Amino acid sequence: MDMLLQILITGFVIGSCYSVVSVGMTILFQTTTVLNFGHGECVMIGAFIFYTFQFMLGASLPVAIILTMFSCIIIGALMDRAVFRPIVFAPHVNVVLATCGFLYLYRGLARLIWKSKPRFPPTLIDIQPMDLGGVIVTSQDIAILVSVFLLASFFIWIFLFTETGLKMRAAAQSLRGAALVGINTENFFTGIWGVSVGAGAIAGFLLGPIFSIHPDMGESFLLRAFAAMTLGGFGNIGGAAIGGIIMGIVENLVGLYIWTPLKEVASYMVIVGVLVFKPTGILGVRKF
Amino acid sequence: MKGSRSKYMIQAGFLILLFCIPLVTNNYEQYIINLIFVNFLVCLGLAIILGFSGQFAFASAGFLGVGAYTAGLFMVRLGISYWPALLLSGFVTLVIAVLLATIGLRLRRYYLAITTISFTLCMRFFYVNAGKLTLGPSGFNIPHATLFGFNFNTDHRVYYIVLVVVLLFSVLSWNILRSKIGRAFMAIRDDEEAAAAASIDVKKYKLLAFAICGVLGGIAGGLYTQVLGRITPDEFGMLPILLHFVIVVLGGLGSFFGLMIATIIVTIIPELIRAFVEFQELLYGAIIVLIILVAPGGIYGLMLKYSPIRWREKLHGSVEKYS
Amino acid sequence: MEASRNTHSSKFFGTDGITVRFGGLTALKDVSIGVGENEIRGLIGPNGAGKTTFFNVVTSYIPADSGDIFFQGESISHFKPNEIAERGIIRTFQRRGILPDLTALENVMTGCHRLMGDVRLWDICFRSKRYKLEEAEAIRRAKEALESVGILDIAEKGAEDLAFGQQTLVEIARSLVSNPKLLLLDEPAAGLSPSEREHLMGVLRMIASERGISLIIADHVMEFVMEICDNLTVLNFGEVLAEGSPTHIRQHKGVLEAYLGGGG
Repeated sequence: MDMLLQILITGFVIGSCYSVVSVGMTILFQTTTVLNFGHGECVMIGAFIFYTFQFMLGASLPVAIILTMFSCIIIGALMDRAVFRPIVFAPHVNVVLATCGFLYLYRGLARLIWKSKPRFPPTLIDIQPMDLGGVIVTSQDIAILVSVFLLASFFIWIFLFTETGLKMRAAAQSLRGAALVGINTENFFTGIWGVSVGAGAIAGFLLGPIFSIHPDMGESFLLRAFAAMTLGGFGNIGGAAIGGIIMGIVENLVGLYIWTPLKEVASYMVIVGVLVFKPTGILGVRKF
Repeated sequence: MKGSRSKYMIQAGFLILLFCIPLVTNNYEQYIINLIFVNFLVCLGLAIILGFSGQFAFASAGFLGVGAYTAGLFMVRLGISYWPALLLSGFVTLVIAVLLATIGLRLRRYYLAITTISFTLCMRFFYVNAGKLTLGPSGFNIPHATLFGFNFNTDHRVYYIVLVVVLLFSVLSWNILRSKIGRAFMAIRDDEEAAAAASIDVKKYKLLAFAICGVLGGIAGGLYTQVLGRITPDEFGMLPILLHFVIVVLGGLGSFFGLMIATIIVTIIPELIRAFVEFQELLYGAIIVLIILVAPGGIYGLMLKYSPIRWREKLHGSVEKYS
Repeated sequence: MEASRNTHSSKFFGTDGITVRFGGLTALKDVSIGVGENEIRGLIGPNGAGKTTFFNVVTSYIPADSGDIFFQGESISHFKPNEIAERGIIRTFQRRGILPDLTALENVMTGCHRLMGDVRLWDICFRSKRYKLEEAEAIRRAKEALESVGILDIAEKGAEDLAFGQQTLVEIARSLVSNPKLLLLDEPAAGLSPSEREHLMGVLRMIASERGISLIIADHVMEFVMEICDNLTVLNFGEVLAEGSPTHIRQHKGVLEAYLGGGG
């Protein structure tokens, strides 16, 4: 029973990071209809950039966080301006291929700059793991929970209570309508790209201490994000968030109770399972 | 009649050229050429399903793996000779492709992509973890093919197997594409509704595209065993998926010739920059992004734009003699 | 057996009480239309009246929430789109369902699918005599269709390079090759110059009289519809507002109100 509770808690924590990844992807997809196959690499780059600021350049924690966020938002914005804005009317295959291009590009860059050897960043805050009634909670767990909670609150506040959020909701519903009411869709898209990559970066440095960082780590995050999005229904932001948490829990459950190596494929099985039995996802409504 | 006579001479000349290649290459060069042919076959499968019928199905690497493992396992564990093993690789993959299609046909664009990618990665997981059944994560060696005592134990000898098989299936595919089936594929790709309105049974043709992709991938997998001599699960994961995709889009969707050129280019690049292998991924990424920005129609698109002769790959044969 | 209400099931083509709802919106309400053999029927109405939706329901792209559709005495409501095409009902699209990567000739050849049932995969793979004959036949029919609509000269041009008016004709040619009995034309006159419209009218008249094909033409261009159609059906907000000859409709109070008063 203890074990189960532990799994649930740990799964929830890790799952919330997956949520950040998949929500980042979903926001981008919902507003710009681009499915960023290179999003896993964005997570990876975020993790590496943070590592660089904090350990190779010795910045303090808050400074490192701010600098990482800043860089990644810029990176996302540049990606849009340089590549995705010019090809906005290209057929979907081309856009998908472009995102794959960034996949290769970032992996190659990371391998060049930081080499393939995995790094093991220490946890963000330095306190001893705590024992809460039989369940062990590490400092990283706490860091993650706090960060994700802050991030989620911030995001929900923006989404529901500010003008920017109104624009996002409008664009998500109808792009042309949004343009008609004078929302500058071009700058808006650039901003969304920045947000998406920025979100990936956050997940990156939160998960870094848990999974170790190396240039190939992006692939697994991409698939978990896909699984989360499929669970929650493609394009459904809330669904993606819940899907991420479910993935975190399911993965750990499968790893413990069925067979450890199966953890890897939990994502794929979820994807196929959901699509075979309920293609709209558990919460999903969107068809495309 | 003169026109078609010279056409036949060119084709015959080209064939002779192909058969003479092993006379001028060393082992390494021949290996690369073998690889190009096999890649072409599997990418042709992906091109048919993605480029010609517009379905976002990225299962080519998965089918390649199924074919390779089928042939390899039948040879190694059951002692079957290469030739029936090759046929089996095509057949088994066909069955799996059809099964996959029954799920895949009702899925829309991105769901289909994710499902087929998941399928491929699941298969890879299976190869790694199925223990004795698939002979483990580090792969295994494949015995050479033999025919009446003649042992195909060099790259040059293997080339002839590859050449004949790839030529055969390429011609068959070409014939299929340049017929009403090919037109139906492109119709479905361009405008599914209009295709159905023209009484095209969309489901049937989508299934056919899947089946063809499966057969081509499976046979290519069977050939792969001889070209590499050894198969490992890593050959059939995410990276080949991307590689095939790049080749197909680079060639230009809906183009046979563009595909040929793209396969050659993409297969050769890693070899050319062997010295700078760390730059390989970076180079791929940069090239892909540049292509999308500069030449979105792929090589075929460029050929259409800049060729002095105004031509397109025709989908109807010239049958003036019969009309 | 006495029918309690007027049913069109015995007509050449008829719908009975077709109702289509999208969420909270009723796109078509109780639409009952009967079209006779060899008739040219016009389907008019303000924007959003439901003309394209009607075509979509008839060709089975969207299901009807209630009602029935009859063609030559048979109920066709439950057929798939390609089965309906096989029975001889062919439609064109507002956007011109042209396949941009094919030439005009190839576009028209895709319409031959209905008649090319005999050739097997084997024949195609190995280019048997039977395949070659069938393909030659398809080419012949396609060229003949292109000629009858007057654009044989652009047969080898890529479809995406064609002017909109030419694309319209290509689409009509494609619908001809399969020997249809009923054509549903969705805004064929849209975007055409007056001379192109004249040409189109000639083509459509030829189709109706020489080939005995019935037409249902949904369009906005009044001069066009009034001149070529035998009868008109007016839709407004998804309901049948009026039916009758062009003269009758031109003077119909309700129609005039609908066009000048509310919508459009």
